[in-house]
Amino acid sequence: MDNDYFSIDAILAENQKVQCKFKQRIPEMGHLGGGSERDITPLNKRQIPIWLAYIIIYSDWADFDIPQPFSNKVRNALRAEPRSVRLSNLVGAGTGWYVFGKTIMDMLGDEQGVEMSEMLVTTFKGRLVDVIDQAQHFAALGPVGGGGGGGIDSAPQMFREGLDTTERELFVLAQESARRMKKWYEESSGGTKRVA
Amino acid sequence: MSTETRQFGDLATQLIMESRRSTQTDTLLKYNDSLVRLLIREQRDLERAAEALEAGMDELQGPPPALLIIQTAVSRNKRCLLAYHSHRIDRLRDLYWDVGGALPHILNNQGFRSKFSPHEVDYLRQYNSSLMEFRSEFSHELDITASITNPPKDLHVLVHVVKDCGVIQTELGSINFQKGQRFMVRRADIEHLIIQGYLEEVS
Repeated sequence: MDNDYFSIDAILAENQKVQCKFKQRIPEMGHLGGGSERDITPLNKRQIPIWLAYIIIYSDWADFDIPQPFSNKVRNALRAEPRSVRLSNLVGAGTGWYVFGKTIMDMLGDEQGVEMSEMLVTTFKGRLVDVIDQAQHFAALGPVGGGGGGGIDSAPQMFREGLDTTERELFVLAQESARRMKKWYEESSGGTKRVA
Repeated sequence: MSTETRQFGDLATQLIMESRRSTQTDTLLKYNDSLVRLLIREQRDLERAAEALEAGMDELQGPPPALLIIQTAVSRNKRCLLAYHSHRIDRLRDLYWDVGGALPHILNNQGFRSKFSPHEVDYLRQYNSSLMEFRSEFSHELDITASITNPPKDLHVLVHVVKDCGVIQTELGSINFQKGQRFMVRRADIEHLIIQGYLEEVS
């Protein structure tokens, strides 16, 4: 996600809305977030996309709450067992939990930002091993989505379904990579030369 | 006016969703000229609104919040426009290198050509000529447009002519490639013809 400016994923992640509680009157902008009055009055609550919320929060016209996907409840569940949480359910389809988290983090003050950052990293590390492990297992079975969900266990399957978009991409990459390695070993001239 | 300002960034999001769809299906979609134009028109409307606010601004109080919000919307649209075009250009370049720099192959193919905007065609042409100029400086030592994924096993290759390509210069002199004939030629000389489908490698 370097050079976020042109990144399609980063742009779409910023479309996620956050709940803002306004502290000041904003004339003429009543239409933001679907309101029908002409102005925004103090104590109005609106759902504003993050890309717009930046300036509102920075100029201190409103406060925002940490969105639900990163609430304390989620935080605690992750701390207990990162692999048990279905990240794909927390955010809408199409945006990643991690990507959204990063955009929120950019907006928070230092202390909260560091906390958030630690939560994201720890979660990622806790889940990554399983992501790659399952991907390599699936490489042996065939292309993505190839029938049957790979086994009687429903826990791995649930984990796979709960992957966030970033993890899904990694999954596909790891799977493809393992598949190609296998193919290369089998195709090596002579077929018998194997590097153990 | 009320419906279009109600949704700052909606048009831009539509455009970016196209980029995402393009990545997910790994295809280049048709250049969405109408959406781009709509976006640019929205930008101009926003600009006018901003200027009106600026004109009525009280110097001491500073810019009204509405002005900053409008400016944010303008930046957002700009970012989305740039990202859309940048994403397409990346795909164009990949397409170009996939065919080993055989530009006519891309441009003569109506399937591809219909998806490009006129500016994108210009881009490809200029990219091609810059590259050709660069490549010619060391073409005796190295051909950068040759394939790197399949290293050639032999210096020469046996080819079967699928389509007439006329007289081509090779190391053995000029050869007239006619449909149905077979030749043993140096791979480097006719690699581009294999890519474009005129010749077929006989394994």
